[in-house]
Amino acid sequence: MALLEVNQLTKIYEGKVARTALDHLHFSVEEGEFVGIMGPSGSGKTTLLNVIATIDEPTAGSVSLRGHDPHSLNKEEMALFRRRELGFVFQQFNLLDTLTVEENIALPLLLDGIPVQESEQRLQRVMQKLSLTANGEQFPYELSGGQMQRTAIARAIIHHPALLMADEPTGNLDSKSAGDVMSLISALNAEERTTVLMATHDAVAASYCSRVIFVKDGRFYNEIYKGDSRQQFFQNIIDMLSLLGGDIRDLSFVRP
Amino acid sequence: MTFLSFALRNVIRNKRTYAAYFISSAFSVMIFFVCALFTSHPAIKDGLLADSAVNAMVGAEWILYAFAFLFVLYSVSSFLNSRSREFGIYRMHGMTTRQLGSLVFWENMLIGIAAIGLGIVAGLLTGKLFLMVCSAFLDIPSLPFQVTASPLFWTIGSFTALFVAISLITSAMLGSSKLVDLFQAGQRPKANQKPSASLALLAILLLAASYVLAATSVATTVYYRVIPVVAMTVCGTYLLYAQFIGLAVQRLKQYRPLSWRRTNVVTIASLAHRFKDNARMFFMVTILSTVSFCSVGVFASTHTLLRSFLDDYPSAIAYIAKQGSQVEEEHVEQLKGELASKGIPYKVAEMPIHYVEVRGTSTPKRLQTLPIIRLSDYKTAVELAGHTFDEKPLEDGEGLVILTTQRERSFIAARKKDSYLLIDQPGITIREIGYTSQVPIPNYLSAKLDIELEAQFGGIVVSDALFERIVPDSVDRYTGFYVPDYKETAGIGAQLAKDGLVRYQTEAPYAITVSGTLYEVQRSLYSMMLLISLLIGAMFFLAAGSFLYFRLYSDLDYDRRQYAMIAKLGLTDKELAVIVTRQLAILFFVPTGVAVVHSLFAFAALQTMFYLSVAAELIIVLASFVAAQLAYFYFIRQRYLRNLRKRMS
Repeated sequence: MALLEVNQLTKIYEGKVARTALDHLHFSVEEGEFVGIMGPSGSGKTTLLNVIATIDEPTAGSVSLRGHDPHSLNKEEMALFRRRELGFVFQQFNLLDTLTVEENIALPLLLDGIPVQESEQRLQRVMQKLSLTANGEQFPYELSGGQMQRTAIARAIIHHPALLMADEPTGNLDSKSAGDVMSLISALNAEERTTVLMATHDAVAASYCSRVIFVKDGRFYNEIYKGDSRQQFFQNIIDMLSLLGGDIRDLSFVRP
Repeated sequence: MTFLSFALRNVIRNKRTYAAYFISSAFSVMIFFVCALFTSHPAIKDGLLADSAVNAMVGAEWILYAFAFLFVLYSVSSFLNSRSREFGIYRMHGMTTRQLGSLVFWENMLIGIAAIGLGIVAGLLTGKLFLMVCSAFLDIPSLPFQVTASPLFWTIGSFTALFVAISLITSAMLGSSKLVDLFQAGQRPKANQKPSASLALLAILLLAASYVLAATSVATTVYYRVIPVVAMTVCGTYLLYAQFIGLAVQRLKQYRPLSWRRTNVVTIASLAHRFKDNARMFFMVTILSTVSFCSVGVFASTHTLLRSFLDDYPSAIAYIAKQGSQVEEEHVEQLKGELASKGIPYKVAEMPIHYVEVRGTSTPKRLQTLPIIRLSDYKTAVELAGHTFDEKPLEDGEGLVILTTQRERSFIAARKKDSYLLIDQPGITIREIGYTSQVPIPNYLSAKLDIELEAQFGGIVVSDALFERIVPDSVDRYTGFYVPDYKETAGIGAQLAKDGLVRYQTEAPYAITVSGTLYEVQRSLYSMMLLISLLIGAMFFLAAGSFLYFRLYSDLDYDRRQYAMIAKLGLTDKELAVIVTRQLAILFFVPTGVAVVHSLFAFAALQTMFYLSVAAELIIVLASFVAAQLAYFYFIRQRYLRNLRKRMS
């Protein structure tokens, strides 16, 4: 059984003009996969992540994670579900600037009432893995963008979530930091078998995935798998994007 | 869009930030207005109330005004600080300093004018009620509600002047800051302020020292200690917040078993993050609350003075004819006639008071005139007043120092007993062996024994035999009228003493106290003081509340973003409520708690000045303030949480 199943998911925003953000979207993610969601701006990538994360509610269709529909939970259980089953990485990092790096990373454990000693051990492991050991006592505003995003990733994985969700994780980073962050996520995926679902419109970032799903106007458009070569995969993504009619300026690299 | 409408929109759209400030301003206008309504009321002007009481009220009005000035100034400047970024944007898009100044000026004026309007309307609506409360409080016939031009004029005039002055000051303050400062304001968290351990220690030392001084003060020392204790407490309080709490929070942060327990991590971090900002606000709120607790406490306890009234004024009418008086017989007959015509049964006691020149034997050996009375006369006076006489017979050469009010009892411990040598009759000495247990002659009618002491005592009781042996230099005659209920004597002897009192230290050939009249006068004065202190206390308390409210709303946006981030990671509603409640509770109850402790020590010092216990009054005062704070806390918490949840989803 797939880890995550997105079943005919539809989201319509009511308003003066009703807008369909997701339109019978249907796909599944296997355990240990690294899946990218691509599509032009406004294609519904963030809405999709929000609905899977129970931050938003679907209008129709269902989500199931390990066979359970998180939307059937009550509000309180949803909060606990997010806290225990999901990890988040945002474009804006969303670190709490009153907390130190350590505290930010340990937050999901602390909220869950994990004993301090165990929290500290797990914290040390994660910080080592993400080479943040030197920054533990610092506050977020003292960090560089790449360090901030690494802190956010550490926070997202410290509690071993079933699914790591990343929304444009490289959107606010320069290309060097973006490369580092993507290598890191890809290594986590390979070594720890962390399942990752990432929304992006950066083709370079997407090329780290094992599969990329293309979404257009909230509908499933196409998907491509990574073959043996990342270079080839990257080219395929670019081709697909231009087929999709995505904005050409989004492309960071075009082969002559 | 004109400039004025731009200013208007800024105010209206920020209405929630300005709400508490606006209401506090309107409240001070209202209080000022109703007080003016009262003091300028035609009936009051015609002398319905003792002048001292009316003057106290007028004085209170100006205190209120001065306070309103400081309050508005402080509030406005903190509003402006919180809007630095907004001003930066205006300036960047080419608004001149002059234009910005006039924008701020008009914004303030709009709020000020609205506050004056609301205050006056509220004053008109509650004016009748206030007059009724006043007349009930002061026990005078109820005043008809009428609005004359003068209170309206004074209120509108003085508060318009206040708001114009402050608008001008604040708009002038704007020009100096650099654009880059405006933009960077508030962006960086101020986490790097390191509290110093030595200053934190100093805070504790200052507070401990002033608490010890306050708690150990006695009646004679309390006057000298007031100023240093207040100064030390104020400094200590500031350092407590600015240094000690910062240090304590930092230490707490490092102790992970506590600081890493669930949501504590968020609460403690945000405390540490803002402690410098909070320090200033906590300090203001603490001082304001302490002043308001203490002033209400002091005046609530002055009422206990009335409880000991009968002890201090044993005869309903006390009359002293000074040496050589020609009018004694006429006056005494007149008083008897008045008592008889009112149908009040009375008993009369007369006693001579002798004055002799003596020299004290303890240092300094001063020359003085010593009043002496006979033990048997003292016994008569005490028994007529309804007390039991329990003094031991006096030996030759012994004397009891006369209390002129029971309050003097607190000073006995600090006073050294003296002996006196008679100047003209060598060989006779009078040695003080103790103090009378009752007051035979009221304070106002006594010549004083000790000039320089705060409590002066009234002379010496000696044995009858010694009294006869001493040849007096001059003789006064005391006549006391004793009646079953002294309150019935109100109004008697009005030609002799207008407000029931002619002091001994005047040129008149007599001195008199009429208890009934005096009681009414004192009661209305004390009641007036209490009323005033309640008004000012309420005003200060509201101002403190408004500071809290402002702090809360200026940080609301920031907090909301933080909470929203945590909520995405998974925070249940209950946990959110816990974090918010804890944070608000710290904000609301840390300053109030410190103010309560300050007040308790101030009250301990206050108690030394009273003969009766004032604990009951003070507990009521503190409890009602704490209850008000609790109510305010729950009200704000409810609204704040609803607000957060609404904006987060």
